[in-house]
Amino acid sequence: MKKNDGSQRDDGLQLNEPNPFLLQELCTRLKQESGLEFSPWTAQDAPSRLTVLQSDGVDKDIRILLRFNSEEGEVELASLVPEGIVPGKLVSRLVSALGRAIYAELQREAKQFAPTWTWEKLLGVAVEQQWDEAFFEQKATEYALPMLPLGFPVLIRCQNWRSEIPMVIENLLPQHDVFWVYRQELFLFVRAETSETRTDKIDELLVWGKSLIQQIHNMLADELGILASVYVGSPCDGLWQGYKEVHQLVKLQTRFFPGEAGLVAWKLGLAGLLGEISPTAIQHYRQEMLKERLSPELIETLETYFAHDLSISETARALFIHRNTLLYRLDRVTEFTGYNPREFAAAVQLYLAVWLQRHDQKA
Amino acid sequence: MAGLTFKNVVKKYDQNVVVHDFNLEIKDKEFLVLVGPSGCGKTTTLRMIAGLEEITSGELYIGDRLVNDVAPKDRDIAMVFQSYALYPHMSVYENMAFGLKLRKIPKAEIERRVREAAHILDIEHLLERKPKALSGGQRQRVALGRAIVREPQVFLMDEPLSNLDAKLRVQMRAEISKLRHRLQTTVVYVTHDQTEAMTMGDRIVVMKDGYIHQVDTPMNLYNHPKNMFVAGFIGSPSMNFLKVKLVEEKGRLWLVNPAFHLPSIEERREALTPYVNKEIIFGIRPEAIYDDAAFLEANPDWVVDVHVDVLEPMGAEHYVYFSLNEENVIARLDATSQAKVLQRHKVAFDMNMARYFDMETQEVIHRPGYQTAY
Repeated sequence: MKKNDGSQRDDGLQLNEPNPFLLQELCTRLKQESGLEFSPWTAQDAPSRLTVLQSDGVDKDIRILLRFNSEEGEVELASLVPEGIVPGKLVSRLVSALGRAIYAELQREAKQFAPTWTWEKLLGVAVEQQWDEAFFEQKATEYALPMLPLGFPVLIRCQNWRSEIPMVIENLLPQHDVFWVYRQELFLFVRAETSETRTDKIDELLVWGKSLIQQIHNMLADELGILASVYVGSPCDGLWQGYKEVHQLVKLQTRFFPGEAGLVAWKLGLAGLLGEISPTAIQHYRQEMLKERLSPELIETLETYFAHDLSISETARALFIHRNTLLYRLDRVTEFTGYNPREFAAAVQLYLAVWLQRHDQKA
Repeated sequence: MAGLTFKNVVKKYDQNVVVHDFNLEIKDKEFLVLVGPSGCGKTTTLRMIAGLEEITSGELYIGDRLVNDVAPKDRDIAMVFQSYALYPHMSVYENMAFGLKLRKIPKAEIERRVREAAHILDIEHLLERKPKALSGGQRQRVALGRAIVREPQVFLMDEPLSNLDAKLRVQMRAEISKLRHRLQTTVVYVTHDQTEAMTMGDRIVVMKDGYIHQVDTPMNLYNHPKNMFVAGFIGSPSMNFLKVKLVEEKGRLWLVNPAFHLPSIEERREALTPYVNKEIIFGIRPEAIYDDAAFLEANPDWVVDVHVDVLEPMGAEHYVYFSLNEENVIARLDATSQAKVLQRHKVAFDMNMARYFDMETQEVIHRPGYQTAY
């Protein structure tokens, strides 16, 4: 039936082998033409296959083997012949020739009606069948999909769905190369406004990429009253990698920034690092650092102190307290935690713990 | 046109309360400004009006209609944001008309509204242009136009001027104020910029940590702040706060601090008496500190000798920085001031303008002459 070199995937596409649907159709049409029942040559047939090949198409079990090479690979069918009939070499060759002609006709028809492959369609199959990046790239090359320019992968998730959403986004970002609506999510690959990748242009590019969050979020809110979260991946020219990245951003937002309108991949800060660590480990760290005894007032004091670059006078001013009150509170922090926030190394540890206390929804 | 009413509105994200028991009545055609530092809940409040955030508890009315469960598109509001995104491939006319087309408004009506809004905003000559051919100010006008054509009951503006440069911001501030008088519509405007709030709002809501700290007219907020936060937030540079002990000597009340000994004016005696021999916060605005000879001579009791740390000439005035008992103080002195950096200098605090705050509650102790706006 088909060559199986062990690298075949169960993806249903069969790009390097004869299309199974075509083989079935071939069997049907052969039956119409010859009156014989054909079926694809299967692995179980292997022992007798050797025999067949040796006898040039006719085996001892009086089977006809139809065998020829097509563009997609080797086509092999077998048919038992009616009892009492012994097919000779000529019959076998005639049936093979008939099969080859029918198969060529089927291929022409398939090409004529085959849908054109697009990035969107490929993404759809890849997501459903959970491909990896290498396989996605391989398929993209096989389908001769156009190269993508430098751009941003963007994922838009809406609280409610309305049919006008794609239209608004298409008009807002007409420079998209990929536009895929999937289960009330919109995934786009938006061409960067400049293809310059010089260092001095990268910053400009990132500012524009970041502005996509507000542009999309605000436009959907204003135009349709839809609340959307927008995730923008790093500038790239690889679609699958970008698709995976924006979905990772969804997880990070849920965990660390639930109130935000969206996230960009290059501004994650601590969240990017800590997202890799299990919530349990983080919870242990936070508890070890802050204990349960650090009051909200002391937490707020620490946050303000860090926000004012460890400046006593600025922090006291921001909290509307006397500097001595602030010093007293910082001493209390040292007493409770064992870490003195006025020492750099300890301040770093406390900063991390306070940051986690504020941001990590899972801890 | 319609007013808005918040009744005990609360917004929570999980267990985190971001807006606490919000009660407010916004009058029809009022220009109300929500102001406060980042994270105070002002944008969340605006988004609750828009229906982009669900209300956890409480009631919100637009006019007489309870809108808690009304979809955003049915609330009859229009929003203007900080980032004024426009459709790049559409002309200004098409940009303004697009929202109306989505709402299935008849073509002739769309034409009328767009022309009228363009006239109001003075952008009729730009209608055929694409956004790329517009300046920042013109784009912001188009964004306003997109809101105006909706003819909404309420305009919601979320820091619409933040993206503009300083000069354009001042210009657009005046434009929006003018516009609201022409449109005669209720406006709820969010900003973190107290100057914008002071210059544009009929009333201002000062928020912090999800709480309303004061709702008042701009001048009442400046002259009669309810607490230290409002006093410090409104006014630039902000009010100076100094910890003092209140003592009674020779029949007068005095504010005592290792760096000075200042008398309180007689009119405050009654309000301050319960605080005698206690520590309180003395608040004085930078513009209530003088160094001209006539003022110092007329008020010798109010004079303090200070060491000038920094002097910033601003053109029309000088900002002079000094410390009193390790607390930084800023004075906004006349440009003719003779103050010199790193030298001693005499200044006088105008004690008529002094404000006093409770150490514990941080609430103002007395607000003489205060009259509520509504």
